[in-house]
Amino acid sequence: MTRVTNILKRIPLYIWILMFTIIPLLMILVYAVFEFRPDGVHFTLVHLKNAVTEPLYIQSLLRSLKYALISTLVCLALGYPLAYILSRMNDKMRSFLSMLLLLPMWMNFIIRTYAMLSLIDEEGIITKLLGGFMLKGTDSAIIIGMVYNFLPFLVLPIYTSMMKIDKNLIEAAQDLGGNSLHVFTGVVLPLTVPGIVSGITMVFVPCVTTFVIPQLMNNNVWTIGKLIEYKFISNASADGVDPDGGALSFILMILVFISMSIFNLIDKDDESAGGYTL
Amino acid sequence: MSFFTNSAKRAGRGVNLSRILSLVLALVLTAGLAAGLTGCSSKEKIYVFNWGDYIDPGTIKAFEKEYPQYKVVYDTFDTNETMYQKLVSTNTPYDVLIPSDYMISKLISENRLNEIDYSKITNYGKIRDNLKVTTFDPEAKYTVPYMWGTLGIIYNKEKTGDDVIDSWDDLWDEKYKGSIIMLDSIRDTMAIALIKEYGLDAINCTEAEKIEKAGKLLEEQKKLVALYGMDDIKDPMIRGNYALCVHYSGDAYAIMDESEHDLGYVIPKEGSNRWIDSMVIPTSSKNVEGAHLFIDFMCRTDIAVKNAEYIGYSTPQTEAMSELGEGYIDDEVYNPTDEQLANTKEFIALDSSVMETYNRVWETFRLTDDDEKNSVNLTWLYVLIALAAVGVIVFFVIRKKKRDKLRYDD
Repeated sequence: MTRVTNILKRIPLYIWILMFTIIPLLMILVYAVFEFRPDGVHFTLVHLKNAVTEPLYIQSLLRSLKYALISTLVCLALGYPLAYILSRMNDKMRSFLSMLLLLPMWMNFIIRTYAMLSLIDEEGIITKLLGGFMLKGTDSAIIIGMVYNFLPFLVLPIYTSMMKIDKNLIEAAQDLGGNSLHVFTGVVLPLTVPGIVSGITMVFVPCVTTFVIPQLMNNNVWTIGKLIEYKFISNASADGVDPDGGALSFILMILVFISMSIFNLIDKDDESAGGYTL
Repeated sequence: MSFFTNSAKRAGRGVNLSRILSLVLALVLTAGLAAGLTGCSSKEKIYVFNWGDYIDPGTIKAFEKEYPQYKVVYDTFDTNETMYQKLVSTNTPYDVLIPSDYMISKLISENRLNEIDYSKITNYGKIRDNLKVTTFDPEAKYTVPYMWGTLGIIYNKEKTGDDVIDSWDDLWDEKYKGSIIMLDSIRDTMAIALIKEYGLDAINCTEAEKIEKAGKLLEEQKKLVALYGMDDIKDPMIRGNYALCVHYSGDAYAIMDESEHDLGYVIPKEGSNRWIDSMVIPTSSKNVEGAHLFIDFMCRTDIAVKNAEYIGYSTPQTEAMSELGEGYIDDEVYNPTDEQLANTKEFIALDSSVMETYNRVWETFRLTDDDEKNSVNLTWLYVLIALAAVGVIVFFVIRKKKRDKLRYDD
């Protein structure tokens, strides 16, 4: 009896997952391998082949990976010390500062990106400080936009795993004669690896796929996300959708899964140390 | 539901709350039903399907006041393609559509439009003559122009100085490197390259070779262009940050109006595109009489004036144009001369196979890297980063193995 009710309780969850995860994923596959033409539906692998062989597509994919990689590293370089500093503060200061960190996230990210854009466009303050050198329309602008938008996603998991470190461990390490560098590399860093890993996943994956930020910051180059968006929306003729778009999304999804599983490989076993994984 | 009442009961006023809620719900429902019923009176309906924010709402009210036997059911679309999809796939008996030129040519070729009985459009005579016969409706049988404009170059006289800007070639001038804004729009931008290279007749070019060449020209131009955009390029131009900007005349008029800088607008001498959004009656119409009435009403001088003031684009109605008066009728941006107009052509719909070529060329152009702009070579950095990433992964995997081994040894 209880088993039945248990299953019943889970039904809404299953329906949710089915409707918003399974079916959309299948739809991507369907769009990748079927052509919807006025004369009927045709199965073809041409578009998948296009997606992995067309040099321009690969180029845009590499471009996206490049932006995502740099943004993630910059986020890490900024976010890790930030999380460390945050975890070392007294309670009052910490809650105040973490609220400041979260505050911008309550706003829509497009508005946030526009706000950032207004700092680096022709009349922006940063442009004036740089002596008229405009960041808008350069690769750096894309990196700035991504880092600005996704930094909190990296700080929070690292911060959580730092908060979970037992103070006694650090004291023990110090008692045993470790200098601060030793304490950091021997205790703090290993124990925050799960946080780092989940933080990286939460920044890297959206960075690869985002199309709004690159479009606003530098519309002169197309990332893979922008290409897919174009295939689905701008390029949509009255005759239907360009099926290469479906194939590209499918390939991109597989790449995301692969990179996630690599991250999770590192992360396994270490869960006891804290942090939250996806 | 049980979840709700439980928590509400805990608050000690569960019964009251749910009663009030159901009462409110019931009231809302009845009110809605009543409103719906009164809406369904015996009035004949005219289904109008137009671009979003592309009519003065007051004109619809005025029409319903004037012809109380009709009720206008107004619906909007945001691209010609969605309009087409909806027209073809739904059963809504649209009576009046206001699509753009190339979409109209597609609708005509698919026999989806009714011929218009011009004897019922009493105000048709006030429509500017050289807008009636068009590439998409060569015999002027299906359309009544609604709004129109041209494609041209806005230039900042403070930056161009004594230079005469009168040609598409100016957009390829090294002198304006980093100071050029182009439209991020496939047909318009491809047309510019095609006209520049092959003349005005190439505006609806279907030859793959020429289309490819146009793409190459745009690729060459890429290093000179500062921005590709649509609405987002207006502000920079208003603030006077750039020298040249491609845009439609209606937007150009607004930009020049708003800007404090000395801006000009030119239809290049090689010729350009003119766009015309026209009112048409689709075959889906069940109220052809009402459709004619509505179209005629929109062409009436006072209504056309009101509408043109609201939308800001050029009205084809000549009397309305003179009524708008100074600042409009004498403005060559808003109201180009006949000579200027003679040098412009409309887009027509292209076969999907030709459009595929356009799309492929456009994508190639947009995806190609502009090496000069990313002049800082970062390859070494990527190699380093990749190596570091691999190193970190290897390090952790080895460490984990070691640790597992230790664990088992214990």
